[in-house]
Amino acid sequence: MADDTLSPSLAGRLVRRAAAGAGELAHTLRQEPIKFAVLVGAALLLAGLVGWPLGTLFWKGFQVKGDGPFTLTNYISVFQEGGLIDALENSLYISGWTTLFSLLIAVPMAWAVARTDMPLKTTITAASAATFVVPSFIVVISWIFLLGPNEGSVTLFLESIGLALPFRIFSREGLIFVLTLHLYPLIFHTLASALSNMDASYEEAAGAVGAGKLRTLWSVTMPLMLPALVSGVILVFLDSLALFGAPRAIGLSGRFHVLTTKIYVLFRHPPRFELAAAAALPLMCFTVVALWVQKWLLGRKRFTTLTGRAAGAKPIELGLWKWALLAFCLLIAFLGLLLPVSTLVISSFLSSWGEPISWENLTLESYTVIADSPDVYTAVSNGLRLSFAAATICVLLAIAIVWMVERTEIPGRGLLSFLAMVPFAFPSVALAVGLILIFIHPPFELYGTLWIILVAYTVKRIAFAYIFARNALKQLSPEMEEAARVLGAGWLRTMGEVTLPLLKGGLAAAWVLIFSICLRELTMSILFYLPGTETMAVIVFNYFEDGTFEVAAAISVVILVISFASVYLVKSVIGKGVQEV
Amino acid sequence: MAQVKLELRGLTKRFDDVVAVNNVDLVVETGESVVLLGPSGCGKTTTLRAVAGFNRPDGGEIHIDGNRVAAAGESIPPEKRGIGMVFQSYAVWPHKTVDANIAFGLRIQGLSRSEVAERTKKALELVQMGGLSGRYPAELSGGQQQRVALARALVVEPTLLLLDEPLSNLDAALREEMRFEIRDLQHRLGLTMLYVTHDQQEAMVVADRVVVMNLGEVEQVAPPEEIYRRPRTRFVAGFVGQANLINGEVSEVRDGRAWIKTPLNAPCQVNPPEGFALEPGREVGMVVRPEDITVGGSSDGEGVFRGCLERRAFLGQNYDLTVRVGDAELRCQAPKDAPPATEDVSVHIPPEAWWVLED
Repeated sequence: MADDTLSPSLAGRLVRRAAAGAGELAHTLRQEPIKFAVLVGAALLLAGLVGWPLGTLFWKGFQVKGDGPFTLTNYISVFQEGGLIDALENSLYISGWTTLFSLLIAVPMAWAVARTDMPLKTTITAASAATFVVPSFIVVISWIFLLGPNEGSVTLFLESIGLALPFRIFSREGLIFVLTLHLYPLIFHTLASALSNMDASYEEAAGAVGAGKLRTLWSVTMPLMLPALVSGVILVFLDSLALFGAPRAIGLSGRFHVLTTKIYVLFRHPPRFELAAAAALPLMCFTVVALWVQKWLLGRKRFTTLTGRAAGAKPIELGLWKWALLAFCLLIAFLGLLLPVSTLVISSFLSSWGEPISWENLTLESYTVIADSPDVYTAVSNGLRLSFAAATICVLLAIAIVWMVERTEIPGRGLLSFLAMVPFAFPSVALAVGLILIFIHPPFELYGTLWIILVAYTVKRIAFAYIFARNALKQLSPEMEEAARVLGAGWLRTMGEVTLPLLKGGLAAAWVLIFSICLRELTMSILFYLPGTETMAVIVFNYFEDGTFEVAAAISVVILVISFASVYLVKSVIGKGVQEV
Repeated sequence: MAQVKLELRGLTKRFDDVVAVNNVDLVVETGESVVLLGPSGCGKTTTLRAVAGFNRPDGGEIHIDGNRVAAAGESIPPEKRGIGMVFQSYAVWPHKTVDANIAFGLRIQGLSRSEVAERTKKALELVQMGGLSGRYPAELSGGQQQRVALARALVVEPTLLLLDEPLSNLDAALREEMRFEIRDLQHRLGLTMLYVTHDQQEAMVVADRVVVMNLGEVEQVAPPEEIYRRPRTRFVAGFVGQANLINGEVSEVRDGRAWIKTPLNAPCQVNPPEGFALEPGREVGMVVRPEDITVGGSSDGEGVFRGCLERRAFLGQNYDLTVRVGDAELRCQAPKDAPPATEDVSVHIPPEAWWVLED
């Protein structure tokens, strides 16, 4: 099997398999035309929605100067002219440090929660899961409120006792601070779940041959945790590169750009989509390289630590140190979740930004403003309609694709699986550039309509529906469907009466998850919106950029309530394990 | 002459490079119960699923009631074949009540509400599940779920009933009971059944004819008694029941008797088989069943060998013995009240106890 060369027999097998697959396809068309239409239609739709924009993006990204031949110098000159080199440098600087600081925070927290006798473990885990539910463009508003240079509450407090912040919030360092507290849960969760699934006998074995606690940690536990660690690090790195909200909010006053904010500018003032495509290229390259590194690193060794008998692992006793560790964890949870959220809620009730917090200054004014504003009404209505449609299309499309991948021999199934999964890792801005390159021209001139946003949401989130549907279908015995077929039900009726009802739980969870994530989506919505197609997140951002912070905060509170409510809903539908997605 | 219900002509199915079913011919007559028996991977389930329409044959044809339903690369979908099927996992739908499970096939046929209700009720009574119509499958035991699955398949009065290891998930006692019940239903309703199992006892109870399969090919098709008493091949002899397989060479043929030279310490006298001739020098395989060997008894005479007791185990209804005779080991049985008393034993194998294999 592990033959590197394509041996004749392997080639023959591939040819035979392709022929068999083509035969099945033709046979399905002859005998079950409805099934054929649904499956092939779904496959073509997916290929169009995902393959077309991504393909166009790669193609155009390399053809910066129109029809001329591709040369590197040509490319670099374009980069310099647009100020893209600075943005690239900033992006790497910010993501690099964010990843490092997240690692420094998350590793001790994960170890403490998974392996020691520290109290309040569940609280810490729940708090860091909730941290990630709050979108970065909302967190950043709180931090500006707290740490802003002139009227920030913490800044003023420190001044009153003769101290100053070690960094300015409107700077690259300020952004690193905000992003670290926002993204560390990605490493924390992957590492903590890997640590608690790890077979403790590896550590016991090291202890038995006389290795001390630290030595065991360094030479046994850490190497075994490498896969989880690498995944977490890559997630943080890619996410911090791809984020738009926080970098835009801070970079605007801090007068610096990262790649995503640069692309935003290239979309708007005036639109220069070819340059945007060039700016998206490094983002895509980092994504591809990071995923490739992950695969390469993890592929070299076999990590077999998940034996499922981890329950007996005895927690390490820390003595008095556990209180120090707890204090650290609580501080992070406080800074990552409680402080920004409570600040946001309080400031949404302030009569005006920068007023001291006292009973006289608290009003419902901001909420009346949003209740009376036609813009907000349009945005909420757009958001609900888009999210509803995107979630529904994702789920329906995913179930057809998953069924085809899991239940048939039709050729190209691997490619479909890849197409459904790849936008998940793909930066939203890059995806948006790909879509604009297609939908700015006839025949699909969708720029400026809600349709292009719907396509963007669907493409970006199809992977969630695909994963949920695949896991659900894998647990469903094909015999359940076959039993209906022999009794006379056709394919479509079997899907409707047996398959879909039995996958209900997983599909409902995917639907709610996609709905809630789309409802607060900022990056692609703000790139695509024109007057009339704003969404809730776009409105938050516009109020924020106008300086009406308290109204931005009020809408953010509404978004947060919806987000937490839907996460709660998903959890009650399918139980644990949602945060991992 | 009985009518042909199902006919397989040269059925062949490949998965990638592996030939799962190779050139299988089979005729099942109306009202007959035919069991496909064999070890896992022998192609019996693949054959059944081809009949159901869940896989497309790579070669050969399948005819049901004289209509061709599948040929190489072409296969009409399962819902157009008028068959019923009972699955190994029962496949009772957990989101539907017992009633709704059974009524499904009738609803698909578009029958009136009252007729659906009436026939559903009858089907439930048929499998002795009368009181449980409103329950959900999760509230039923495995045996009850299998009854629901059976009722669901029977209620549409299928022209052909397929059963894929229907009892293998049940516990031993229930399995034994259900064999007889299925056989009884088959007789009462005049069902035509194609039944897959790896359990030879189950096959014996349920079958009019047994099809023993190995490595994708049919080894023998015959009624249960014949399969046991007159296995055609080594594989059938070994797979169905316990058997001592001895290889030998014909040394003498005289007066309608044959003597075979074997690893046993004396020539074996056998009755010549029907259908083919034995001549001196021919190599043959021979089978003798443990229960046909007498251990102890007189120490000389026709078909008596001297042996040495190697192992014995008490199984309740009898003793299971291993006796070394010459260079061969023989599995034998002794009655529960008469175990051999000494290490040295005499073993008696009458000529009619030997069965000479064709291959």
